[in-house]
Formats: sequence, C-alpha cells, structure tokens
Amino acid sequence: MISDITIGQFMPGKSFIHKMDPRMKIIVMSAMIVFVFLAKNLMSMGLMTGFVFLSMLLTRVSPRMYFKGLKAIWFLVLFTAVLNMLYLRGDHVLFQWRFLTVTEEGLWQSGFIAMRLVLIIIISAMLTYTTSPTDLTAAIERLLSPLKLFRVPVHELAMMMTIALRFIPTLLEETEKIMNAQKARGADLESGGMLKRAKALIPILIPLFISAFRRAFELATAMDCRCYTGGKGRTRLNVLRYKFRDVFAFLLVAGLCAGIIYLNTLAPALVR
Amino acid sequence: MDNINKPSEPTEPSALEVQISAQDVYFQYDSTDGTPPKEVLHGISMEIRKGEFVALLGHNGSGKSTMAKHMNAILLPSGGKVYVGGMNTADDDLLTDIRRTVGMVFQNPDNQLVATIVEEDVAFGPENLGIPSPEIRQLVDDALKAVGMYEYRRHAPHKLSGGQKQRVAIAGIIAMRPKCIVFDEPTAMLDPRGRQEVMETIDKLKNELGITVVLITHYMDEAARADRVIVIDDGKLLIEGTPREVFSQIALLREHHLDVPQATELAQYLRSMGYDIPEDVLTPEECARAIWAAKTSGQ
Repeated sequence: MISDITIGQFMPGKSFIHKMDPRMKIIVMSAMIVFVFLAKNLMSMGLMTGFVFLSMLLTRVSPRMYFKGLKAIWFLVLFTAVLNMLYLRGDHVLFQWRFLTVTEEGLWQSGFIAMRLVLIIIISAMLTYTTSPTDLTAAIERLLSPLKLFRVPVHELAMMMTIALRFIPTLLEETEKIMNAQKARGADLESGGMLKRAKALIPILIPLFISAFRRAFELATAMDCRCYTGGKGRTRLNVLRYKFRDVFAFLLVAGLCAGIIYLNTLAPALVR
Repeated sequence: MDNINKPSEPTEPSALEVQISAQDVYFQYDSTDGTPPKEVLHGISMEIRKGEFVALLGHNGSGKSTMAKHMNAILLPSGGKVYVGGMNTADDDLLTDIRRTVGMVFQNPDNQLVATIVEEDVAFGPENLGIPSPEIRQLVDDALKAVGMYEYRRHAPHKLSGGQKQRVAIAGIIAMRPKCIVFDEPTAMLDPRGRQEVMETIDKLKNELGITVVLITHYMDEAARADRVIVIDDGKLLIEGTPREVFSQIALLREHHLDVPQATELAQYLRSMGYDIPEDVLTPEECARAIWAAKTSGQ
C-alpha cells in the first residue's frame, strides 16, 4: 500500500507495532521516553536498551533507517556527551590537562546522557516510521480532546495539521515551478554570498505566498461546499479502537517501567 | 437582503420538478479600494429542472461563475431570490440542507482536497454531516466506485494525475448524495485525457445516478453534450435552448465573443461555400456524416 507522505518518513508495513492503535503508540512511547530518564544504573539502563532494540527489530523497518535518523544528530550527541564529561567534577580523577578534568563520575554521566539521547531518537523514529501522518493527527486529536474543557481548539489544530500535511507536497511542487520560471527569466539563485542569495529568494517567496493565500481561499470555499462547520457533530470514517494487541503492549511497557524502578534499587545510581 | 432568516416560502409553481430556480437575481461585489461596487449580475432568471444536464456558457467576466456560486448559497443575491428545491438560499437555517442538495466542484482539483489519503478526503463531507462511521464507509466506497477511483482509495492525492484528482474531488461531493452538482470549469486545468475522464464521469453521474448537472465551461464541445445550454453575457441571460438551437445562432454568439463547437463551425463554413449541409451539426461524427451525405448526393 502506498500511503507515504513526505514528512514523518512513514514506512508502511504490517508489523505488530505498525498495527497498534496510534493513540496507544503515543502513550507507551511517551512512557518509554520518560523511563529512559529514570534508568539510573547499568542494570536498568541495560533493560531499557534491550527493550528498545528489540522493539526496533519488531518494526521490521531496516536498522539502516534508524541509523540514518541518528546520523542527523550525531554531532549533538557527541557535543552533549563531551560537555557533560568535562563539566561534572567527581572524586575519582582519571585525567587532567590544564583546566580540563575528566573524572570517573563524569565519564559515566556522559555515557548515560549519550545513550539516553540515542534511545529517545530511536523511540521517536519508531513512532513516525510506523504511523501514517493521518493516524498520527487523528491520535493527537483524540488524546488532546480533554483539553477542549479548557477551550483549547483541539479539532481546529488537528485540522490545520492535516491541511498542512496535505499541502506540503503541493507547495513544494509549486516552489520548484516558480524557481524554474524565475531561472528561465535569468534569475541567478545559486551564486553569490549569503545576502545575495537571500535576496534572490524574494522573487520566489512573493509569488509563492500569493498563490498559497489564493489556494487557502479556494480551499475554504470548497470546504464550505462540503458542509464543514468545525468539529461539532462531526463523525469519522475510521474510528480508533483499542484491540487486544494494544492492551498487551500497554502491559508489556508497564512491566518494563516496573522493572526499571526495581532494578534502580538493586545498585547505586551512576548518574544524577 | 430583507428576506434573511424568514422561513422560505414555497412560492414556486412547480417546486417538485424544478431543482434550482433563480428569480431576477442581482449581485454586486463590494469593492475594497473605495471604487463603486461592481455589479456582476443584472436581473438574471433561470430554472434548472431535475435530472437535467445544463451547460452554462459565457466568456470571461460574463458572470457565469458568480451565478454558479449562487446555486448553493456560497454567494447570496443582493436582489432577487434563488431557490434550491424550494429552499430559499438566503435562509441561514437551511444552509446545510442546501449545500447537501447542491454540491460544487471547482476548477483546481488541488485546492479542493483536504486530506492526505484519497478515501479520507472523500469521507470529509459525510463526516461533516455527522453520518455514523459504517455508513460513511459505504458512501465512500460507492462514491469512489462511481468515479472509477476505488483502487486508489489508499493513495496520497498529490501522486495522482489532474484528471484522477478531479474525479476524487467529484467523489467527495457524490459521497454526500447530492441531487445536483454544479461544475465550475472542472476541466480548465486538465490535459485532454483528464478532460475526457472528467466528462465521462459527468455523463455517468447524470445517466446512472440521475444527478442533475450544471456545467460551467468555455469548451463548446463539452457544452454540446448538454440537454440544454444557457448563455450568459454581461450578467444577463443571452439565449437558452438545446445545443442545436443555441449553436445554430453563430452570428449572435460571435457578436458576444463566443465560439461554437468546431464541427458546427466547419459545417457553417461549408454551407457558406454552397454545400448542402444542415446548420445544426454538433459533433464531429454528425459533421462527417453530413459531409459524406453532401458529397455522395452532390455527385
């Protein structure tokens, strides 16, 4: 089934995780992200890492894809780790050179921080790789619906997200067309310094904005014609329903969280 | 505008047979820059009957699109009245019923699709109407099958061709089960193939689903397929009648900067050259037959 929509890098599949209810995915993955921060010794971190890698394999998405996701923020991970290593002053000094001091505690700290970042990225990649943007928006709308009590326009926000997702490819295509049209008339977009290039973007952005507003106006009329009056009294084609596998996933992650809390008590914390 | 919020009076003589009735409609666009408001419609009246296929013709700026937008209360007349199945379009309480009865398909398919997956887009209208989920599924499947896009139900709209996108847009309207669909130049942005796909779909809606069709176009060949043609010029009704009656008035149409179908034009030219060809030829086939007949009888 082709239903890939540019952003979010959704990889269609039929794995257990793909088939999970998107709401449950968001719930358990948020819980996992919280518990990544609560794992404080080698045992609990080991359990967390093992669980994340196992679920990663369960998505049946090639590990290379996850690696690609990591590559993008590799520098951030390294930077944070090094900074933590140098900043934290502990009792067991391993290495000292001028003002740089590396202690055993600092080393553990930086190792844990790096591992946490890597795990968080893998978990969030798992969510976007296995959930279509449509499902994601629907799930967010449902999960945030209690906020309606506080007059947060949840439906409107979800609608805006859907329309934004829908128009990303359309506007990208349009940008390309405008760029080609301007190039054909001699616009130079590729040479010159930062300032010159930024200036060269103006004749692309102005037509793009004008057209985007025109599109918005036409879309609004078309939505009026299709009886759109906001979220009130709306039904949905696909109703989200929790199934057995969602309950199973919930219990599994609940067990994981309990396990981490228990393992944390068995050995002293290596990280703050 | 004094009739807003009053219950609609069924003043129409034959409300059952008439789908849309415009009575002496005036409309002006309010200007934003201080210039006097521009009047686009000057007292135009027309009737669209149930099950009919009507083509609305006129050159750019003639007011044909403005007229179309009056047919499901996107615009309200500044003078005169428009009735949809006996409902006054100026009645706010009937807005949903009116738009449910008369659907509208626009020129640019990209700017009508809301969702990132075809079937979800088609479901948009029924979802707005608050129809229960299992019934929406049925409406969506039926609508997609009617336009021949069922196999594409899980696709992303931006990967479809223009003709396919426009068919999805049509499905999105059919899913609301309207009695009438107004098409506002639905083929203007399509390639010849997409144009043909859309025209075939329109024919099918009319013949198989019994939907009343109002087609606004400036392709005379498309108008020739209609049961009735209404020509608007400068916000007034110029002529109306069957395509044969209307397109035989070549001189009048020319005078108002309108074309006739190519076949009609060729037939007219040959007539003026002295060949014995009827003047109400509409399609290329008819034209070919007429030329053949003229040639064989002439020898």
